[in-house]
Amino acid sequence: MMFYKFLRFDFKNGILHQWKTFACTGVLFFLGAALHCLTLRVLSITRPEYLQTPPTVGDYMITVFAGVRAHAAQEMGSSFEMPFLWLFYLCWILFTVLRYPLEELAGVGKHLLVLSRSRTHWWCSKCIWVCASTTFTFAAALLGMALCGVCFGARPSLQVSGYIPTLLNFTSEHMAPEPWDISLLLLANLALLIAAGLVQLTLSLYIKQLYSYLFVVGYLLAGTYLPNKPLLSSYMMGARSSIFLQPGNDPLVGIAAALWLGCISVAIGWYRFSYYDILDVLN
Amino acid sequence: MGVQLKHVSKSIHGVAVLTDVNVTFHAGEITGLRGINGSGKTMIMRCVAGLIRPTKGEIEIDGKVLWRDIAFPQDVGLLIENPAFLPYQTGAQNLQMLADIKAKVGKARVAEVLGQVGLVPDDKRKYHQFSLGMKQRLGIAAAVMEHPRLLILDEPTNALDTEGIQRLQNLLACEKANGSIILLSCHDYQLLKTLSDVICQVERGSVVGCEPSESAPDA
Repeated sequence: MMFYKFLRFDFKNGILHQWKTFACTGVLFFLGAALHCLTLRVLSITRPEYLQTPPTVGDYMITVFAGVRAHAAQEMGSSFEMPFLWLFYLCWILFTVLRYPLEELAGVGKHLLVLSRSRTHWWCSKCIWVCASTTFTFAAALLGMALCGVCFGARPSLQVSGYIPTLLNFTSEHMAPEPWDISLLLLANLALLIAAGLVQLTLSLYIKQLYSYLFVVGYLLAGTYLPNKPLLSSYMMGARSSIFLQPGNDPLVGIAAALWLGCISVAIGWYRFSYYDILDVLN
Repeated sequence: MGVQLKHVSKSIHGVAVLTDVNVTFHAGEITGLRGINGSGKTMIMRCVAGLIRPTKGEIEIDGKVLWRDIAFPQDVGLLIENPAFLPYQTGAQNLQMLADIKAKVGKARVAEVLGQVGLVPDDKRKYHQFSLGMKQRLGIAAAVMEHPRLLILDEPTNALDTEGIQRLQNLLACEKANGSIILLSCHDYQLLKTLSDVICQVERGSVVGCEPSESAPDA
């Protein structure tokens, strides 16, 4: 019963009252997807053969989720391309789940905690909040992109058109056969974002909130340059996914890794919070 | 029965904030903590509330050891440093939200305690529109609302006017009569003497002595 009250409080205070964040996310990603629309306009003039079929909503989404193909540093003349759009998406969503839990604890949450007499309830409620808030923000981003696509005449499908790998510069000799459906890639992105949010929450019990944010973003960013398997961001990028490439990173492995990382973070955080000093100063 | 701190020490980031604190707070008594800024008054209160864990020693509340037998005091009302509430809710809504946690008191008590601290129960203003004094009154109301067994008030007279202090005094007398254990700190020593039965002197993270307020020195 007490846990339900915590959840209800976090849902009301941390989700319903944060509707502006979700709305802002939708608008930002709508505008991001609109960039793709401009590219299509240019393409329709310069390379009309690419656009033999109308673009899909998946085409709009993959412009954000493509990331960058694995960088081969040892190759002569190979230069690293920073995936700015992908990086922005990551930074934004992780930032939206950074502040609420500890700010709430320094404020009214302290009273709730003392009245409820359970640190475990508080911690579990905040972990669920991270999962829910990340899901809502991610859904708002997808909705923004989908709306943009539909507004500009895209087909409501998550299958990606054949010209996309060339346009986004991740074409390869070993492409997977079409159709390329990105629903699993989206699911892997959501799972890994939730896991990253949980790692961030746990880390913020040890170090300053800003540092935990920078650490998680830095870790995910490292995966853009270093294609090592433990750098899980590889599983978040369409340009490295088995959906498009053979061999490529299997989104299901990414989901399994996210599940493992999320559970480990929740367990470590729960242990840490069980003796965490609650001071009004945010660390 | 009461609250007993036995050899309590606490270090935060390697800095000792409490050193071998030994003190007992009795039921039906108001204990005033006196000390300069940074002497450790708030840390003692945080320890007793279960918000921070002592590095050494133990805290016994009504026979139960904090952090071993219980995670937090069984029944506590708290105002530590600044009151904190949801900015987009009214005073009554904020109190009702806290009251819903234990469901021990209802709307009638929420309205009653708001009146006792001098706030209007039907006031439609949101918390963020409150003055400092009103916020402080709401913080006091939240702390005493459920008639807690243990009442911890850190600087409750901040931003209060004379009328607010009088109301606080009446509330404290009422809670004391109910047999509560009351811990209080206040930067105004004369006021602390007036409000408290016992004054404990806190210096450099230790309680150096406690004496009845009438026999405590005037300055």
